[in-house]
Amino acid sequence: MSPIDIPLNPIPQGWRWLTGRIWGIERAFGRAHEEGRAEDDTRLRIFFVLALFALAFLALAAGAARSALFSDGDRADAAGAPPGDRADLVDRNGRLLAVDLPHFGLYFDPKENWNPDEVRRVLPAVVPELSIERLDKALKADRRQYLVGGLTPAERDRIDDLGLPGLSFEPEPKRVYVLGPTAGHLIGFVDRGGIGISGAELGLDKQIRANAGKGPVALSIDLRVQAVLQDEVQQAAETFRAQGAAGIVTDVHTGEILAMTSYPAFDPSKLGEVPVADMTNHVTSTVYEPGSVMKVFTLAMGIDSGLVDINTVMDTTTPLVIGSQNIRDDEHSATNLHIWEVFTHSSNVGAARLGLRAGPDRLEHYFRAFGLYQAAPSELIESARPLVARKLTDNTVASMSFGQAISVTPLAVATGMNAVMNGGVYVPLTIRKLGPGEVPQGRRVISEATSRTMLDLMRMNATMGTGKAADAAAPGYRLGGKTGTAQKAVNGHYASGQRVSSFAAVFPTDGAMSDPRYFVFILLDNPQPTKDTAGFAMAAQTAAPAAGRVVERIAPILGIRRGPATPPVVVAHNAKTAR
Amino acid sequence: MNVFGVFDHRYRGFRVVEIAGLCVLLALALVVYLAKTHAGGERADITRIQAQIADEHVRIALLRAEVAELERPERLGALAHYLGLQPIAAAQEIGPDELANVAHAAPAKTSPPSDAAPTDSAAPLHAPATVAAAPKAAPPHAATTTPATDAAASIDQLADAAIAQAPRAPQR
Repeated sequence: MSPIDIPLNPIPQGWRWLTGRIWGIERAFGRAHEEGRAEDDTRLRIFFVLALFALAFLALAAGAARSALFSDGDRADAAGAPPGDRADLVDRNGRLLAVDLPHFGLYFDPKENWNPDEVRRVLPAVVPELSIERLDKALKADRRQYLVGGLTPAERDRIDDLGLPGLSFEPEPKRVYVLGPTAGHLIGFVDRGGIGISGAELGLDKQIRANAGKGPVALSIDLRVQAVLQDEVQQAAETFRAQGAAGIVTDVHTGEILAMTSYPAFDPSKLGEVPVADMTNHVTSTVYEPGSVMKVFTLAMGIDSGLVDINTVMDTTTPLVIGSQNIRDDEHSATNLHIWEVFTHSSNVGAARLGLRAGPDRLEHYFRAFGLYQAAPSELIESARPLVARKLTDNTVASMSFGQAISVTPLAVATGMNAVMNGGVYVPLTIRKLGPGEVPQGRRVISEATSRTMLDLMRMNATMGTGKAADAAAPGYRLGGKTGTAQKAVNGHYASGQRVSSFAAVFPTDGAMSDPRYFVFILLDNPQPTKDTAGFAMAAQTAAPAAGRVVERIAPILGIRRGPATPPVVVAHNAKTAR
Repeated sequence: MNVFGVFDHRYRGFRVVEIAGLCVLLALALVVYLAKTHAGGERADITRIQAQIADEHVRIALLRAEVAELERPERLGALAHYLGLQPIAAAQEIGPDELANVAHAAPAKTSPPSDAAPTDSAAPLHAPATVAAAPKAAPPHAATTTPATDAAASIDQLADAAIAQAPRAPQR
């Protein structure tokens, strides 16, 4: 019985072939033996064994050559990657913002050193940041000890040149923020372990780590726009001795944040030298009462819901009294005002009466749609929730209509404003650069016609109303804007003489709804009057001109061409015929 | 011929087939040795080149960081302030269509020949700024009869002259 006859079920075809061949050879040996040719039997067996060895050697040689030549393919790929655990951060044009650079940790092994006194005498002079206590502990230890980290290659070479035995180095990547305080709040920083702690480093942490060695992560900001915004916000804050300030520039269509700044600025590469309070990003983490900037949302609600149009006349001659609350305008109007005048005169009474006419349900519906009832959605995790009354009474409805009784972040205001100015679609803001042609999905909150009207009203306010200083600073860029000067709430009460001044600007206000359009928002926390502002520190004197200067400087960068300064067609027409 | 005859043939007492087998064996061992030796050399080269690539990556990263640090807006702003530079004001802007008007408004006597290089070393650097600062005034270096294309060409010449006078960066 041959092996192939063994009833294995099922028998693989290959096994059957192999056993058949072996059994055939064995039978050839047997036949040679039976035929009296025993020497042939032996020779055949020797030849067969030799052939097997030769085949084995060939296989081994091929395997060895293959292993020697091709086993390091993966390592070659790894060597092509830049150093570090995190991908570089760049702006939308590829300008470097943050990078992992090779640094070194210094170690000391006492077993390899026989002169610790020399180490103690020489090393601290070359490494000033080295703790003496740590060095003493390492000198007396019985195993290798870590001394100090974050050494640059030059510092490593200086220590190496000392020639002290027992010292050794281990590479340790360190995150370096090459721009200093520029965009510090937006970029954020990482901890010693390379984990994002704030800003984009935290918000995009997973993507940044996943991209390590593959390519940079591009943020939405434009470094040139960022520099302008940061410069102007800082100048305004210093000129008016503001306690703090914030600024943001966005693309109203895509929701991309082109610049974001918070004053005081801080340098993420010098964390130990910065007061913790300065690390607060006022754009994302500080809520404030927006004041009259809120009237943009109130009027958008009134016009979109059909309650009013821009020529509707509101009673603004008498103060509005609700219980103990007496709402009046800074500048008393002897005549009733049209809605467009309520906007350009920034009438609290007119806005409050519009809010009351809408009622709490409609107002809450629209304000929720504008994102004012939630933390602004974005990758920035520090985005703060707003402070809003749980139940809307007539009092709170009237107050909210002109920007009191609701506290929101500038980020939330910017997101809602984008919806008003981009044709009526609420699009979350993003710090991630979108791809060419990538349009984020949004939800419609107002009609395109309402959005068009609001753009005209914004333009009108910049040419005839409280935003003239902004338009004067950016001639020809068809800027529109709304001022907001709110009393500052301190410990639950409005502080006497303290205010928050802000200006929301959009440019250009003309052209098709799909044309490029940008939003600029500047806020100054408690600005003080100067001799040039005749004792005033309202938004019209402080934030508005700063926003205008920002527009004047960034418009060429963004490809917006200067044109003739013309008033908005629709509003100009209505302004003539309304009364 | 019997196939087993191969095993009978001898050379100086040794079977040829055994000698051949030994030669094949030695040849195989030699080939494997040479392959390993060659592979070892290649591996050393690969390791060295990988180390060079890694070093180059580090150097590139350091240089990029250095460039970014040198070009950071805060530093450039300070330099611009030191040099007295300011953003261009609206009154200083001029469109391509207006170049001809500017050229026509300029006095003829100060017109440089179109085929001659500027001789005043300071003029090329100052001329564009003068045109930009006072578009309606008569720029001293613009020609009254120069068409727009010639004006653009002369601006190119001025830029070329300015670039030629600029200090060159050391070549690596």
